[in-house]
Amino acid sequence: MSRLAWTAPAALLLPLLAPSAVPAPSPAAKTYKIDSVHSSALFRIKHNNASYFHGGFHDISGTIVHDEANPAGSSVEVTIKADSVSTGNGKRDDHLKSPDFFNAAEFPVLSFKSKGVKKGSAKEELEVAGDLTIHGVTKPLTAKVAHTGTGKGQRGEVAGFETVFTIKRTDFGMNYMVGPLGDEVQVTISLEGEIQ
Amino acid sequence: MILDALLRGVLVPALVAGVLLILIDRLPGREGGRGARNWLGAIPLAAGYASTQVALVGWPAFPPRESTHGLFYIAIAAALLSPLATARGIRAPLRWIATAVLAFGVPVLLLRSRIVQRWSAGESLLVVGALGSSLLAVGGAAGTAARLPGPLSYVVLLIPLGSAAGVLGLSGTALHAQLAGAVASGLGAGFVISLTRGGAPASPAMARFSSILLASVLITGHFYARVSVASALLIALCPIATACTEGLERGRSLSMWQRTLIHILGPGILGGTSLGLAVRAFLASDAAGF
Repeated sequence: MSRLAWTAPAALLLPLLAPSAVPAPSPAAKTYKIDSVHSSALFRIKHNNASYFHGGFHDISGTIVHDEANPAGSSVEVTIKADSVSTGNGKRDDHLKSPDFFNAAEFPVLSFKSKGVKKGSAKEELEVAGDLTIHGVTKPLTAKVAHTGTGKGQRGEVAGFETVFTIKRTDFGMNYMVGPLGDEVQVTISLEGEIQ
Repeated sequence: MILDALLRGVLVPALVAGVLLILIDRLPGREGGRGARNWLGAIPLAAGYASTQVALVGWPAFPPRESTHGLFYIAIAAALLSPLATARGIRAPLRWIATAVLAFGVPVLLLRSRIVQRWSAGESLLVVGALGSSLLAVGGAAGTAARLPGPLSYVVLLIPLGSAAGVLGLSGTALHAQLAGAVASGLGAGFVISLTRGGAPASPAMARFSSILLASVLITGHFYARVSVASALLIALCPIATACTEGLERGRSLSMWQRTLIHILGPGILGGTSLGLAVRAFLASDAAGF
């Protein structure tokens, strides 16, 4: 048998033997479904280089896998509907949904999908790395996420997580009105998940 | 902020288009500058438009990621293909191909996300077919402007684009309002040049370019912002109104003022009504201002 004939099946088996890039969660890992009603996705942006202006989204969904014993087995997937942006002013919300900013008709969702989780430097802190997609542009993002608590909800255990990070909207192709509206956007994501 | 918007959306395109129009006018040709003007006529408007878009939101991605990027490439394609679609010396099949590519390429490029994500093949064919056929009619009718006296030819092209800019601004997209305004500003520069330098009318290529960009901003405004069907249709009918009034005027000896009034009346009423509808919708909305 030729050398190639021996090596080809071995090469196919190698990925099975090698450790996976994202470790599987341990049996102790808990899966939570994001509760849109008790989760917040807020943003803060500078207006006219003077004040900070706040807004948010109210349609948030996704899943959190939290493995306390083995943080590397944790993961998170969050999806936010662009059309749910709200700033307390109907016309401004329409403007934010328009092609000038989020272009909600062409890019209906904002999303984050984790690629790796490790324990953070502080207690109850995780360092989550993944891909953030806004306005059809995907960029890598690493955020420090605090596990804010665990409690009892109507359908069982609930857990809370929160992160604050800053992005540049121009990195995501949202280039209109940079100047009157700042480029840097501070994002606060606060999630409550119900155990599955 | 308002000064900045005026600079990028009005002054930049007017200056770019104006300088290029004067340069093209000076090119030697069989009919002085007019020969070159027919072939290169849409380039000053496209350059004015492109400079505004780059000044407002930077260079677009290629291939275009969103409809606003698509508008940039439509402007370039329209500048290159409009002379082929309108010049008399071109063989008919080539003219038809250029005309069809422009008419049907515009909705395909601008509505790509809908075609891919939302619509069935049948729905896509129906929408692209209807919009493409409308573009053929509007583009053909827009050619009437090139047969009108110099400054007037620019005014009848400028009215629908100016109205579209107003409607888009009232319908939630200031960016597209500025982009429509950029083409209107380029036409405004042409009007001033025509008024002060011998009254050359807008070329057929320029008229076709204007109609393509007009349709493009209205399509994006309707599908991705809040421009109503009624507002968009009224503005799209402006070039057809110009073609109708030209037919009415033929064979009658009218003074320059009467001619101007007749030709401005149709697009003026349609554009004004469209703006009125947009103002009403804006005021009926639940909050005040951005």
